[in-house]
Amino acid sequence: MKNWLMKRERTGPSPEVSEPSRFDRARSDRARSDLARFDLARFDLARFDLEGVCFRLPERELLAPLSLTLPRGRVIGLIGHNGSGKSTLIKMLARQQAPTSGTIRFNGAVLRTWGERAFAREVGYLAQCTPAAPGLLVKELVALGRYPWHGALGRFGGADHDKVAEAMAAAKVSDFADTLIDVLSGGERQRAWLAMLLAQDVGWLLLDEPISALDLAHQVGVLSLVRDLSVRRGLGVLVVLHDVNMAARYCDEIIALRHGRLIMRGAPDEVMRPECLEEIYDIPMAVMRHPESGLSIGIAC
Amino acid sequence: MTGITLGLSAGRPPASGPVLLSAVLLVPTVALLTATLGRDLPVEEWLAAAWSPRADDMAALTVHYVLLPRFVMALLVGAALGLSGALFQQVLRNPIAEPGTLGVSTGAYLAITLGTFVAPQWFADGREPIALAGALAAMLAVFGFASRQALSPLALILAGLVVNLICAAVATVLGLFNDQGLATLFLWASGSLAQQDWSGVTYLLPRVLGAAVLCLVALRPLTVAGLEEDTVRGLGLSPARARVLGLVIAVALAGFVVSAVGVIGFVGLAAPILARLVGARRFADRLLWAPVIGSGLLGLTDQLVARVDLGARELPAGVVTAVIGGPLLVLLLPLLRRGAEAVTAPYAPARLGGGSNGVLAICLIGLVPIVWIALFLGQDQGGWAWAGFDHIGPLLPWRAPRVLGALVAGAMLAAAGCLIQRFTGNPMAGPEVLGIGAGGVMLVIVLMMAGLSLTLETQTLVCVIGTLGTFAALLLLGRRSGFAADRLLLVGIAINTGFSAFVALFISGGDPRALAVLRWVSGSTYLLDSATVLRALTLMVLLLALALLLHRWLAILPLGEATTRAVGVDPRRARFVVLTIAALLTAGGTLIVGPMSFIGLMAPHMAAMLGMRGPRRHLLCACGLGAGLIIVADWVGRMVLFPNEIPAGLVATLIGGPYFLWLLQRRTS
Repeated sequence: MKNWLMKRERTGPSPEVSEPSRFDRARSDRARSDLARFDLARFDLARFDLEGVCFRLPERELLAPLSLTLPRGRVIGLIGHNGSGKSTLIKMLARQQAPTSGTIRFNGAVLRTWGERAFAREVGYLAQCTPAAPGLLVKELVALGRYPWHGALGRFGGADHDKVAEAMAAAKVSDFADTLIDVLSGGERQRAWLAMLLAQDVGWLLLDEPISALDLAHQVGVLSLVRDLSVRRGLGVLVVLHDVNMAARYCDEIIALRHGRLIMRGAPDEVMRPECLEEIYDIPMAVMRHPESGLSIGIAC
Repeated sequence: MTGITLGLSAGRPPASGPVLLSAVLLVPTVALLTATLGRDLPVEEWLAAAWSPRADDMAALTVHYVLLPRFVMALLVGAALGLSGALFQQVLRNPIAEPGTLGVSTGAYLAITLGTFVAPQWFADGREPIALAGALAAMLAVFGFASRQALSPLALILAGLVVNLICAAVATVLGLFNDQGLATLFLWASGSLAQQDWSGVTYLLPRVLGAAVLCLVALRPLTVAGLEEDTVRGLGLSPARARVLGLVIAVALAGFVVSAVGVIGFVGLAAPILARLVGARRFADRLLWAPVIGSGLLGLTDQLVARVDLGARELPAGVVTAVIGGPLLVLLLPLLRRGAEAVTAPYAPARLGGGSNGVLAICLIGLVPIVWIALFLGQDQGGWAWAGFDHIGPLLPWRAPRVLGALVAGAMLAAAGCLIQRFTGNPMAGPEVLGIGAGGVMLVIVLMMAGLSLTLETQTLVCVIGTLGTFAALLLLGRRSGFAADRLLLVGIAINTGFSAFVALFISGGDPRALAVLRWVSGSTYLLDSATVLRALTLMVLLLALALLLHRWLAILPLGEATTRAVGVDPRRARFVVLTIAALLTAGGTLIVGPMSFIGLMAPHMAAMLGMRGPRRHLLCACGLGAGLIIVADWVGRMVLFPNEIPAGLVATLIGGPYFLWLLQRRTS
């Protein structure tokens, strides 16, 4: 597998794909169906419903009226060219921005009627650029993720400590627990922020390019972790990804935006076709099969 | 290298812009002058009055010796300041450099003040050498402290601000010990253009002309000096000599102006910027138009001011330019584009270790012996005396309110500084630097000038309202730039300048309350009584408890709005609460030790340097240090010139200012 990777890198610019995962996918699908039997009703409720949601600036429209439903329990990839409205959409779902028109409901209630902390217990959001955190240790940052549960004055109890430790272990940052955030490398820092999100113990993760600063191994690590959480705990995940092959490999479903419009939504196999990819990215694309996993790989021609 | 550049690249305004603006400023100026002249004197007698008035014609004499010299003086001073500002901005490649913001004018002013009181014999040769020496010394100090930051624009402006404050503090100390000379002293600080003959004009005119000729001769090197260092090197030139020449001319011009009329702010800043805005793109253009526009600005201001009737006295032009200039600077802020160089440093040390419970305990428990010494050790007519328990009884009612008041004020300002620094993520923020306390005091002085007599209670209330209002304004302005360090500081500079102008105006007016206000502004604990102190103590305990309870917000808020919202804190509400607490703390501290003590900047920094990271420890440690510092400042102020006193706020400025400069100089870019 390593040889294969190196060969790919030598042959020039190519999407990064590694490690066959047909088996993983099959296993997780089975797990998912087990889970679905138990908690289907709750999944149905904890979903995002968008009705004619639109975001306009005075000079241009960033997102055309959009209606769709995002069910929980799946990893949904959001792809598109730069400026296609991916970040705008995810920010509106995270309540970072209000839509200029249309309504977003979560769990049946209009988004802005949710209380701040109640919403933060359900939905976690990781911004594209993580801010500087001067003088903060990794464990202290991760502990801030418990805020929605204990609030401004509540006690930081044993359960909170456990969640923090668990989140740091899951994001593989336990070794840096007592390190200052600002001295970490970009990848370590991104994982520390992800750990904070995990400590938040939410039902939905909204991730805006969570792997942009990571090397290949950590990209795979983070996306596997996210997928694993989705499968085991039934989390809903909406993740903005630049790499269509990563999206195809780790997502159950892909949503493609182009110039602020939804142009495609479907399973990875439906999207991974030359004509579809060309429409999304405005550049001729070829799709080939991975020799071992059989997954589709898109390459710009 | 330049952190701030003027973003005026888009679209070239027509070349007629400067002409038009100059006309807009100068035509009304001349119109107002002719209107004034025409009131007393028929037109056909104007020329005669200007050249050789008849000795028995009162109206003609007024025109000849008062109105015309003043008019010419305003134009000359405006031109000199415009030229000086254009040179500073060119040579330092810094769009907000000018004699005022760099501390040069204040340096000249302080030198004259010192000379007046300490060594009047220096004035045998006139004010000029002393003013020039003061201007030069201030500039060298500012440069010395900003040099480690490669003279970055913000570092220069900050150093200038602090040098300004230190000079003002020294001048105030002098004023407090010479209360007969008080009004004169502050008249200089407020820059009056009033003239009694043509001597001022004959003094200034050749000097300004000489400077202009020098600039023209050195036009090419000066133009090159405005380019980026690398470019200049690439051209095979060394700009150093041209820069030194430009600075010398600019400093000299500022010194001339101060020795002629006193400190007049903002004209040197506004004229070159306006020239650039209306299309004087090349340096040669600005060299021509900045003085013209400066003349127009000051001439028009002066003509308008002359029509304002303040009863027996007139409004000094320097006060008006400072008051107009503040909002102008704020309006021009959006034109200042942030460069790649971020002017921030972490407010907490990027190292681990230190900050143990032991250190925190020492900072807090250390207050006990300090309070002890401040209460028991003092001087009386027989020299130093340690009051034993037997003798402390009669002394306590005198000393206890002052020591306790100092403690409360120090802790409040330190806590406010800590909250503001955490909230803005800006290590150079502080209630004093941002002018928050100054805003409160300013409102009190404005109301006093409007003729209201304020009791202690209403004065307190007004000060609190003013502080909150200033804070709110600062927030509105800072929000759009994400509380960027340079923007906030510039607003702070604008507020502080306006504040100094108001204080100068009030005190130079000979109001009977001048000395009391000056004592308050400079932070004397002399008038504190136990009831006031106990109220302040209660307020402090309440606010500190609240701030400590909200420590989680203080940890989350520095991470930015998105993160704050994402973990379920409403950023607007959290900011509002935290800032209200900070504003109340500032108001409380300001009421006791005045608006310029520097404790709010200093104490949080020292706490961070001791390794305090978490919000609670940072806050507590800063409070301990701030309280200790003010108690020491108060005690030193009472003892050092016994039986005279220097107010605690001034002592704290004189300790805190140099510390800030040292901090600035230590931070390598």
